[in-house]
Amino acid sequence: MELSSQIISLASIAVLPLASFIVGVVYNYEIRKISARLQSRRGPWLLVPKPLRKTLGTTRLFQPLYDVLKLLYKESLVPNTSRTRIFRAAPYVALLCLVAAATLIPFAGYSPFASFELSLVAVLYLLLGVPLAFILGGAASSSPWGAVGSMREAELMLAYETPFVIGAFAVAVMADALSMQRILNVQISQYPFLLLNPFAAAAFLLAIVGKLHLKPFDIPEAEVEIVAGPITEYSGSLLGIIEIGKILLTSVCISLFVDLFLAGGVIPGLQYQLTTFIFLVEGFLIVAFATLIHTLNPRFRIDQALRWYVKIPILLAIVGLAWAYTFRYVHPIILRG
Amino acid sequence: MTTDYPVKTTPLIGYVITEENRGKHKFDDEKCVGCGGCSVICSSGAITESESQFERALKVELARCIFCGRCRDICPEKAIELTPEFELSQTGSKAENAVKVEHVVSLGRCEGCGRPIFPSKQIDAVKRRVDEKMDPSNKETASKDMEVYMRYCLDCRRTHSYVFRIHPRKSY
Amino acid sequence: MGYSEELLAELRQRLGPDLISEFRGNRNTFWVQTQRERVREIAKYLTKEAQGRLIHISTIDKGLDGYEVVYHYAFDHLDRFLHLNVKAALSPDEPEVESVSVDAPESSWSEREMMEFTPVRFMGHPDPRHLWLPFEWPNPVESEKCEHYVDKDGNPQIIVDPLKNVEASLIPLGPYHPFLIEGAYFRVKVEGEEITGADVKLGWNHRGIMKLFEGRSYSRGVFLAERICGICNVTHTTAYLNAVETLSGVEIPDRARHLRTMMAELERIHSHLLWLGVAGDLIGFKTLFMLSWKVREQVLDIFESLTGSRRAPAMNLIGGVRKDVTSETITKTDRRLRSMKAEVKKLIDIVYNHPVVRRRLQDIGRLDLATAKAAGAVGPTARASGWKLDTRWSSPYAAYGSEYTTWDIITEDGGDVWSRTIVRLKEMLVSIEILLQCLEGLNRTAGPILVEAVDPKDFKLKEALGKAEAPRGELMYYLVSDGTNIPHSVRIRTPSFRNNALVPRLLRGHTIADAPIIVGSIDPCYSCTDRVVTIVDSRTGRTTPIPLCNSLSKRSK
Repeated sequence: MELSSQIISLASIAVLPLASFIVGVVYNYEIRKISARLQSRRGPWLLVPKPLRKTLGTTRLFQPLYDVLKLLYKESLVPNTSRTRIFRAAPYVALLCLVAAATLIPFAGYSPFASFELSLVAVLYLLLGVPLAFILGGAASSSPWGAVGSMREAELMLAYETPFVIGAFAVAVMADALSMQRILNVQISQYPFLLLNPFAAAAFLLAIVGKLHLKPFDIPEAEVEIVAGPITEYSGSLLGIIEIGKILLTSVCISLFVDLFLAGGVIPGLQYQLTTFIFLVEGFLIVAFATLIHTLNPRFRIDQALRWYVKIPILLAIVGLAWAYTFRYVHPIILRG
Repeated sequence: MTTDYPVKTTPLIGYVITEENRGKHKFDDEKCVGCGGCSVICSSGAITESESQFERALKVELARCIFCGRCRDICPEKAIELTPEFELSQTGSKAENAVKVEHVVSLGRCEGCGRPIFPSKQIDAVKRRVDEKMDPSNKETASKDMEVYMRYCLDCRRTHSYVFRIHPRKSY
Repeated sequence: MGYSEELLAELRQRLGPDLISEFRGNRNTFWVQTQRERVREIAKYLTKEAQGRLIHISTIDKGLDGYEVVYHYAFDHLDRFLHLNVKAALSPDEPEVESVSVDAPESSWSEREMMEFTPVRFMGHPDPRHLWLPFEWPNPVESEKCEHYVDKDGNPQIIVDPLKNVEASLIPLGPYHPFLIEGAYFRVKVEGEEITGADVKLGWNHRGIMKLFEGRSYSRGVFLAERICGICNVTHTTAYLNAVETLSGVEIPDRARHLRTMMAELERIHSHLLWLGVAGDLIGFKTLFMLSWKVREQVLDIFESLTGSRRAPAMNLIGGVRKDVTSETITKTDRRLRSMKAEVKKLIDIVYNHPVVRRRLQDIGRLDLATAKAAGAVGPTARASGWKLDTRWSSPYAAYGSEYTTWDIITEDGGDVWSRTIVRLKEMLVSIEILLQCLEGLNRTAGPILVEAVDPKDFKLKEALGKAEAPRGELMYYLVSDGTNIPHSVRIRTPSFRNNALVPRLLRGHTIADAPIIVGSIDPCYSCTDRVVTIVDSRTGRTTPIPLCNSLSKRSK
């Protein structure tokens, strides 16, 4: 029994990031399809019309995956004047951090590291590796676009990490635990934290919009201003690794939101398969909402983004934290009396 | 996914163009007389006229054509039509799959020396127009003269103008 | 009539014996020939006190007779159609004249361009660098000496580079950058994100069109003019034909006037919708780009149903238009225009009401009225700074005169990018109004659409100025004929030529994030307007231009 559960744990360390990646690919497809339809375009085909099925297949649902795979077999050109080691290492640093974070986050109610008491803190810490890799890679690329882009990423990181972390801690305060599994259990026994602390949920969601570089916050990768920002000089397989990282980041952040605020798809009394289904449906809905914001907005300037973040999400996060503390102390009093 | 253009296999992408759209030229075999007016007026020098011993060829170089339609406007016989066909790209200037537009008319021969003169259809067209449009007082003389001298090249006409009685001062 | 008489009288008095000859063209256009020494003070008087606009300076090559410098002054914002051309003859051995750009900075680029095309030298020009050619061509020198180039007498000339000695980083916006549709090079010195200095270098799209005109007959020139720009092709033909028809003395029939106006206004709507999409893309609003270009497709469909071609419709010809419209086409077009008006209004609502769009566009790239007048801005760029300047009103052509249509000129006071956006949006609605009036006019007017062209031997004038209002501003053609059917000289001054000169001024003090939309707000069209690689050593800060021949030979290293 012990051995088989250990084997299952070990296997899931490989399977879970892969599952996250596949789900991330579908989320990425969803972003492309919804924004295309809102702009009167088509987007990648969900069901390919019959005359083209022979060349294109039945569905182009995994189009983002094909784009990544195409990049992986191309040559990567590294500028002569760049800091080559940092330049080459940065994408892999991001990927490793994300893979580690993906194993820690419960996916559809299943978590191999359920017993780890500090998994929330570990996840938040690991997710810092992604903007760090961007900043280092951009600065090491010896391109003016990389320099400006890393500067913007650093400023934006200050903006969105604050509500991200405070929102997560508000949830931790309400659940009185720093373990993701415990937070899930508290939500299963009471109500999802989206209902109990909507302020923290709103702040966390707006932080995710910034983290995923969706408009109006795709400032570090603003193509009309700085070509591609930190990732301008990346090409070929290194760019492929960065794209895999972006897809995983989408999946990880959305799963984090669903776990922290929507009880991870678990509804007491329902079977495991339905949990997966509800987990994915909730993820799709969050992505759809984020895509709506992405499609209907232009890009902020970096100073306007910082000002906006201080005005709304950080304020919401602080209100959410205060609410969490009040809730934690008031709630047992209400229950008792 | 990259597919070759044009995607003839899918009916989804319909082409929305009107009949007015100026595309590939079509020379009407019956009407074109080979006068070469289109090559004179061509705005970009795309229509060229070349002559061999037996025929005159009018060739449209589609890569140079700007599809302005002046050739269509100027043609006296209304023989050029610009069809809405616009998919005319080719893989190189000397490609085998290139779309070509060429029209050939046969040249008539001088009965005096045997050299090629104007296209025979052009001669008929000129005779026809004189018949339709010329002032009736001059028409008979002109038609009779044309019957004679239109069969000869310019040199033969000059040489034999007195014998053929087509000299301009013959009536004095 | 009174104003032009006063102006000429004052000019005669000032020039005195130096006034060699005077000539009156048709419709309030005058030519005055004078000595080259008096040119500068006349320029100062005419631009400052008489409030004229120096719209261009042309140099005409007269072969063995030397060169002729023509200064084109426009007074049509004060008196309809009034233009004054001041000419000075230069000898072939010493083609030099004093530069007027110190007193009239709007002519600075015109002089630079003419110095490149002809051997005429404008002495005392503050910035005599090449505009189109690379800075150190045609005398390629070793890369160490590239700060100098050697002129024909062997004298070294120093390239005046305003950005050389600034301690900051250089960001190359162009010539290959996602924000530009065409090639242009904005060298921008930044500190962090803030722009501290800017310089513009053009010439990547230069095709030698003015030279091509001089080898083609007038009627073939119409189709060449159409291909100068992909967005404003009809306006180029209209301006060219205004000049040719003035030369030949031909008056086009009324029906042709209405048709030409229709084409021009449809083009204005299409151009402004294109601009709206591009402006949206430059601030990151891709949805606005897709939506406005979707409405633009309807305009292109109207073009196709009227003429058979979406762009470069090839409708205008000397003496009128080539193709008529039937009454059912008029009804269909009227219906389409009315439905398009509703959609344009929806787009205007989006721009007005979206808070992020407002925040990105307001208070940046400010151009105040005094600078606009001094630098010679034209088109919506000038109208957004409060200057009422529109060729359709000041020198009416086609059916813009008050006897054919009535319409408003849109001006705004802000002078920033937001004002320019609003001016263009409102102009779209005005254009739809003019179009509906033209369609009504077509229903009322019958008659021919083309009149016989005139043999060039019988041309009334030897030189003529033709103007039109392109979507970007005032477009001017200056044609010189020599009695044959091929023009002797053609000089074109496009509106983007004027507006691009303003950009370095507008960029200073703003961030890199604002640079694309500031450049985009003047609606640059580099095809209308115009191989050097500059390497900045990041350690020492030294700028080394590498001429192309050298870079090719060093490739093996």
